[in-house]
Amino acid sequence: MKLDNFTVGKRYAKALFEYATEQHISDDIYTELLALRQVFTDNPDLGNILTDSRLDLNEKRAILAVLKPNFSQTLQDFLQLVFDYRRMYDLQFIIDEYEVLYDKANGRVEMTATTAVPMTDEQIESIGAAYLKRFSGKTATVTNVVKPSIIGGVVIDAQDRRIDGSVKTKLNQVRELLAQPLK
Amino acid sequence: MSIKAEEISALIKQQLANYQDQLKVDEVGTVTYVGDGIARAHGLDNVMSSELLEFSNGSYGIAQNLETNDVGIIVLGRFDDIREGDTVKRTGRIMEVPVGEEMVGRVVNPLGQPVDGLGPIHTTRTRPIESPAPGVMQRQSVTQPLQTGLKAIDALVPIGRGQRELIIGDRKTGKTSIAIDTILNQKGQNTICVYVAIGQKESTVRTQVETLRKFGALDYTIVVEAGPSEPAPMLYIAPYAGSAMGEDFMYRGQHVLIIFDDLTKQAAAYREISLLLRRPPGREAYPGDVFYLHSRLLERSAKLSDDLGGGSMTAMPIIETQAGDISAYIPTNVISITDGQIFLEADLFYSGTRPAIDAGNSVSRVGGAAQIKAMKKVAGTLRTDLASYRELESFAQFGSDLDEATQSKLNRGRRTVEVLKQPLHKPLPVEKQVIILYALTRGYLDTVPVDDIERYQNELFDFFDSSHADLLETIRTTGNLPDEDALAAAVKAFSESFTPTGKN
Repeated sequence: MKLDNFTVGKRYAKALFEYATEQHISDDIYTELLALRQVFTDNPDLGNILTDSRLDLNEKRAILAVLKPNFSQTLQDFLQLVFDYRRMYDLQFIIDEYEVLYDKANGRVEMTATTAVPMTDEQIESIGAAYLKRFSGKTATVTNVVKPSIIGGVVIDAQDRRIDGSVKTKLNQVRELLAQPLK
Repeated sequence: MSIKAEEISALIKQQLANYQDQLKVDEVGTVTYVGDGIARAHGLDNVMSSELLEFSNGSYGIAQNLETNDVGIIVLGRFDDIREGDTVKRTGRIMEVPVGEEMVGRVVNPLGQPVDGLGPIHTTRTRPIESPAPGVMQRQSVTQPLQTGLKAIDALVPIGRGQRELIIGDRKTGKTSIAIDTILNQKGQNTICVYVAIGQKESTVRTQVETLRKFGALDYTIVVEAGPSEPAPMLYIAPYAGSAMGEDFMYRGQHVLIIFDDLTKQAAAYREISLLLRRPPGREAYPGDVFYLHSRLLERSAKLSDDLGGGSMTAMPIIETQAGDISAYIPTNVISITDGQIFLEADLFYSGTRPAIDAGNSVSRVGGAAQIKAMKKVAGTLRTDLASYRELESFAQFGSDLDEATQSKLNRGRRTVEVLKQPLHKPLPVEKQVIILYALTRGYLDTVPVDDIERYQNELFDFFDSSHADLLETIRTTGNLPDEDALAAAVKAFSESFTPTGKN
């Protein structure tokens, strides 16, 4: 059975992360991977092009040759390996999974805070600190997403968890209460 | 009607009194695939098997497959407005349905929501749809009879309270009619009936509900309905939901009769779900646990010990066969799980023997323990006699000269078949069944022409109702055969006064 992207991403990321940890270069690899992800985000079809079997192998090698020299030796080897196994399309999943493993090892927490109006820097900082105090973790990175449809309050998404303090949800709860039959 | 603003605001205030301003902390995952009534979600690392999940559109789902990367979820309800990337959150509960007396008389879907348009059901209690069956020490053996009101069943394959008796046969052989007649006969028996219609045409279900309503049987019946237009997960959970509703009464010491109409369609729905969830297919493409699917369901029907209130749940699952093939996968499975089966035959049905029960293939493993003494006395060897008559009948078609013993056996057999015929929706109380079977087995019918037997029977009942009500009363209250001489005298008196058609 064909493996799906998540499975592939997990396997490659785990291997890379464990290797990097052994070599004590997991931080450097992480920064490099972020740069690599930027390249892939800027060129959305890059992964497809590098995996597509209809394209000539030499053409793909040429693209890889442009891409590779910017990175450290370890990552160059890794890219070559991923390319040889025709998994370049899954590279973004690999980077995502690497990030998950890296965050877990370093106690970093990625957070998304959704609000109706933009948050100030102090608010962002204090909400990160509040989350860390309540749950585990050392540092928190908070991304603020503005979504007027939640009316007010804040919704926090972090580590497969959603803390919903939005006015919209509260109104929905009130609506459910009112819709219940009278006793 | 004038609207009083103060009253309304008082009611709203009352509703809002329960509101608590709390932060909601949920564990969420992301939908990665949705279609055909199932969804897959990424994340949800801590989800438990069979846990209830809520999608962002308000639909609920049940976690089925917990795999390394994702969770396979069956969606209960609308899935056409769930999109890839939507969130799905844990609820920490397992699927429950509302239960209690308030459900009685209602038609509900497998989620316990009313579909009969009679307004909301104000239940206070719920019960998980999957719950462990009673253990060894929580049970006792089946002793009380459950009267179906059908002579052919009560005499040949008696059913006890807490037994699981399978009704099996081809399409259009009267399986559902037997079930409905059994429900009708529970009137005044202090029994709650649950009729679970799985994948039955909505029009058919409507007809059955109207029949129940017409005969006043809806006052003690819950109808759980999962139509063929609903997604497969609803058909899959319907019998479990029905069992949960029945169990609630059973554990409170009441008697319950539950009918699953039919489990073939439930198995097909489960096969559909399993294939979509990519579970490996086995024989007839059913998944490996299709036996467990039915065994865990039927095991929940039991007779509880007296410590637990002595309640019971009698199950009558229905299985549809293809061209009489009882050796297909699902029929063999369910036959081996149940405590007996009522086998219906298309040939008998079309030749006018209705209910079309095949005496040779039908058995009840609880048998005599579930019959009143009087019935045991009059119907003792009826089943084997009937089976041997069927054999002899096909044999006798070739020969013309038959000895007297064979002649009389054939004679008796023909009358037995005639006596066991019964019109639709006319259940017969047990004392009357005993009377007619007494007349049959003691030979009073041997001289009555076969065509007159139905009339003989009806007139005999009228005669007993008017002149010998005390004898009927004795059977009803004591369960024993009344004084044989009195009974024999009464039947004899009637037989002598009976005038066969065409003699006068």
